[in-house]
Amino acid sequence: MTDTGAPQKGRMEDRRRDGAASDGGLGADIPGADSLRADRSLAGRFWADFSRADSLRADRRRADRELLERALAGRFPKPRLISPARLDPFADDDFDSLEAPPAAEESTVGAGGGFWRDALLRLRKNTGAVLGAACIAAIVAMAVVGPMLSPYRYDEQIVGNDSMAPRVPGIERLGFLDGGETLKTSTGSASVNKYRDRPDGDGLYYWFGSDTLGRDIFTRTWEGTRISLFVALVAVVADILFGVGYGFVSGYFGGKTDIVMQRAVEVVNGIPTLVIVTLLILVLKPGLLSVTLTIMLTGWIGMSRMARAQMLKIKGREYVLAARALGAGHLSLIFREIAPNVFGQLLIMSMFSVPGAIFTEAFLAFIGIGIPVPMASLGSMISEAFKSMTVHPYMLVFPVAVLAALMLSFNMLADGLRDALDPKMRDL
Amino acid sequence: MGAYIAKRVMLSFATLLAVLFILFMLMDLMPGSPFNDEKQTPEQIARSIALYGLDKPWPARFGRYALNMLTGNFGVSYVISKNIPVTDLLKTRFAVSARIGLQAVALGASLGVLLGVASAIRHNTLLDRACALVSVIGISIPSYVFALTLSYAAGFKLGWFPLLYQPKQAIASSVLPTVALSLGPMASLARFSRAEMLDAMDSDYIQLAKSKGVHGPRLIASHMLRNAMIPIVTVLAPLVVGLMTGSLVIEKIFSVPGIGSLLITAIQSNDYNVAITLSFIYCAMYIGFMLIVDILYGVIDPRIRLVKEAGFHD
Amino acid sequence: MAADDAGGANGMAGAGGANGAGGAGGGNGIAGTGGADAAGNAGGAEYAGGADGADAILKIRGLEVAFKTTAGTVRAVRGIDLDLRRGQTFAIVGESGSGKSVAAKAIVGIRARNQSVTAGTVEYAGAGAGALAASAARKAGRAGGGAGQNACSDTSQGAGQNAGRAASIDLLRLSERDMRRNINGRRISMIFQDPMTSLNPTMPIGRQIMEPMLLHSRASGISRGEARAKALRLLELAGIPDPAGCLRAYPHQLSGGMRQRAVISVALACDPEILICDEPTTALDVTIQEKILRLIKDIQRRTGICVVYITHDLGVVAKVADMVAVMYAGRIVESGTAEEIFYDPRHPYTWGLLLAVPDMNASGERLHAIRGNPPNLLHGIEGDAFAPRSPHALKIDARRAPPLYQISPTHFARSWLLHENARPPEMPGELRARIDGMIAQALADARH
Repeated sequence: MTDTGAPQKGRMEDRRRDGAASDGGLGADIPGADSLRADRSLAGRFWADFSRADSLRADRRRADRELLERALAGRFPKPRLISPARLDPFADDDFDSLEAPPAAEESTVGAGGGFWRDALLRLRKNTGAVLGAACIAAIVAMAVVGPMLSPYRYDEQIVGNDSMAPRVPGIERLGFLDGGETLKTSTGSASVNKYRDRPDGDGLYYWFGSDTLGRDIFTRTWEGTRISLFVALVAVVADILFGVGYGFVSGYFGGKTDIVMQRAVEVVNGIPTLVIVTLLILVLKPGLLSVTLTIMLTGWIGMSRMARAQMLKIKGREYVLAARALGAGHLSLIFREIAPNVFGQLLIMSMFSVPGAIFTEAFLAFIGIGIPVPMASLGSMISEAFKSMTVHPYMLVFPVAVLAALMLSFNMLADGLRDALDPKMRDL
Repeated sequence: MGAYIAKRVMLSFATLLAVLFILFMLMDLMPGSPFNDEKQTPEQIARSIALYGLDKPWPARFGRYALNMLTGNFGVSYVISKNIPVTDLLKTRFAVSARIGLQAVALGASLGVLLGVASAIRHNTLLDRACALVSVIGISIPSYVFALTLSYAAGFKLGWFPLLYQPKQAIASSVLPTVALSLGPMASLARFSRAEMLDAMDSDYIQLAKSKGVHGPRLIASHMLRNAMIPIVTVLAPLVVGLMTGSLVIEKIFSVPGIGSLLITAIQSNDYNVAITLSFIYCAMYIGFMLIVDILYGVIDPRIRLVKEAGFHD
Repeated sequence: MAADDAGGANGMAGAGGANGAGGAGGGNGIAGTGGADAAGNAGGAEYAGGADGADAILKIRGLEVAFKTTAGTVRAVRGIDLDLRRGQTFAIVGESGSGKSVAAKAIVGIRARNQSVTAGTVEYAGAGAGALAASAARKAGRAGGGAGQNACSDTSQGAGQNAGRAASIDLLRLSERDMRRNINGRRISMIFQDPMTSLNPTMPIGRQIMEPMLLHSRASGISRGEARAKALRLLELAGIPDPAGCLRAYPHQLSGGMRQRAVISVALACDPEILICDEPTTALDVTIQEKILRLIKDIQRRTGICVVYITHDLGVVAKVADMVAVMYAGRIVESGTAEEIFYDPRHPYTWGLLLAVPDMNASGERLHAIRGNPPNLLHGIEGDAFAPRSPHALKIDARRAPPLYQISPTHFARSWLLHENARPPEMPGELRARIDGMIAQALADARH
């Protein structure tokens, strides 16, 4: 083996890399005997290589003969303590062998506990996610019991009780939420309290105020939250089912099926959500059904992409191949082997799509093509309150606050979930 | 690069045709006929039908329809302003919407990427946390809630800018809608580009660049940012969709005489022709924008531009 | 932090004693950047791993690196000492997670955001050290070359020796800017494990090779044209068939082996003194592995640079290494010349590693694996980190950290088994047989 191969030789070598002749140098071929074992790892040839003269070390360091001969004779140098300079006294049994060595630690570096337990632990450490979850729980609870707490029904219009500012018993003594509001008049602003101006105003309380038609905003806000949550949940569940189904089928079968299905998605993706909404509303007329359908039709594409990507990633994994080799059917492969491993991603994705759906519902309601009157939704309430925003801003505050809190909470929870389930994404 | 662009243009065109076909089917399915509310004799109607080619088989009709739409011949409005060509309705409105939209894209994209990159570089500092808070709020708060707040505070209470759109003060009155519209894209871009920047910063090629002595602005600009831009560019298209949706609400809140508010009116008054024309225009704009993004993508990423033609193998 | 080293009383190494055997260990005491952590560094300077610590261009002492994770602090590197010399090939061997890669990256100043060097010094005494030390001294307003000179009393002899030689500077104390401008690329280069991801995908190969040359052009005075010509030469040297074409190509147009050659060209662009190769061949297939190893060796022969291999592949070590350090759980457990490690291994972990290499000559043998897993560095380690997996463990292994023993001027091991009170340890019979076979063959070869 020569070591003087000029770079030119190396280049030539590479150019005829299928040639058998070798003159050493940079790109030298492996000697014939070795190429027989070329599929084995370098480590596999270690015992042969190390002592062989053509090892890459050979030119620098011939084996130390003295060392070899000493070693062959079994004469090994005695070790000498160098650090620490002096050892503390030993216990009597210190140098007995450890009969039962402490059980080797099974966990690998950094790990500990199961995946889900770990994730939950990380989730609980995430202040934003915990706050978000608590906030969602509170809003859901209010959506369930809220409308029952108030003496008014959501569609009950009381003539004369229109545009009452918020008044809450107890808090009213603190000087706010006492039914007073500041109205802008031509001469400046004036403080008005409609409750005091009326003879029967003493026992009258509108906690969040009443709207221009004399409906209780408190009842309507929670009623609207109910609708928003319901629409969002139904839509998200539906678009998960549809999107995940589509993505799984496309990714699992691959090949032509995948190409056709992905082209279709690309075309659909070329149509903005807004247009799909417009066309649907034109055909279906506004209502609960068309709103739900709209959210479903616009939400599934992202979901299907995620599901397909996950499917492509996981279906090539060894354990799936093993299951397939053992004769598992398509359904069992998808549901038994693959789906459980996509669950985390799915959960994150659906958490992210809930605020999107709530937003779409509110958006449709706001531009006036959502839930028909007299039903309340957060969006339609905001839309109505917007008309008298400059006069009675309080009508806007509560629905907007609930909507914003809901979206913020879902986003924060989704963020926390992603960080918890996907440690790779975790901020360090 | 040429082959790549050609492929993208073809795909865009195919998408546009698919959209046109859907619109055509819808028009065909719509209840009623364009002539039913005019007092015409059956002969007149038959003549009109022949005139407009409605008796031809559907491929011919579709061809004619597609040609009309692509050449800007959108027909007339039925309800909003009777028998006025849709093109006339659009003329002034389109310019207003386009200006606000482009301003919002420019503002949102530049500010978003800037914020994201800055907070990635100053990772885990106060700036980073502040940016994170702004972007979470920006993503979570619907654009119209922000728009309402903005119009109440800066328009009504403070009176800095016109509360409602004044055609005479086009620039001043486009400020609030632009800001309101740009918040969403800005927030999501800030978040996304931060994540992508952090990703790029952790990559092996940055380690190699550092190990060969690259540092400071050069490391950020030519190694991190260039690579982070590749995924960032891909999310621009979805953001434009969000902008379109947002523009409807924003135009309603600030009563901007744009195509968004026209679409709302058209939907509410069942003016099919206007609604469908607007849908087509939104689609065309979106598809065009996606094409630009795809080309931009190719410019930034040599892996897209240069197929593995010249391979170097061991 | 120092708890795991409790067994080692705070002894400052017997460098004097080591000198008796040719000055092993070098003269320097611990510079002790870590300060508070002297006991943790007690390993001290003795791990010279070479004949004369004084001529080392890179002297690493008591290097400790820690990661902050959500679960707590992981002490990935728990104090290592190494001397690197010109023209020498050094191999650091260990399982994944042993901290070898982290240590190498810490030396060249590349660390993750959550990672920090908690103690130790990396003294560089190469060609650029004088100027750097002088400028650092000017900045700090103190005498030059100070970093390595605050030697403890019993090493004053070595320190005096060192003072007369070229100045040295502690790389860990350099600012990131100084490090990048003066050390990275110019003096110390690095090659990473995965050539598929270590080149910037948006920059042509040529620009990536020329970049460090032009960046450091103020020092070298190289022009753009010259840089280009040199890049071409480097690609040619790296055995790339069409260097001019490759200069213009983007990384995705190259195969894995070709990319690694390009990475090597990048690393060699500024004629560094030290080349650190972090598993340079693991991601490549076997035939290309061999070519890359030959290439690096050939370049080393021409330029006389110091090459450090970070690897878990003993095959690579056997092929290329002059000096070997075996790392386990963030520490070097045994180090010596390649012959010493392979013909006379003393640490049970080294035995396990060697035994785990399958012997292709003996067919039908079962594979030997070291039982258990490496310890979790999140928890403090008491006693010998390897004891739970070692069949030779002593009771004291669970109680006190093992002391360091010297077997020859270049051969060191850290194990209680080497203590005079311990029964002389027997290496596994099969390993004994293999080594004896190897020695016999080597002797036969040597007689030729």
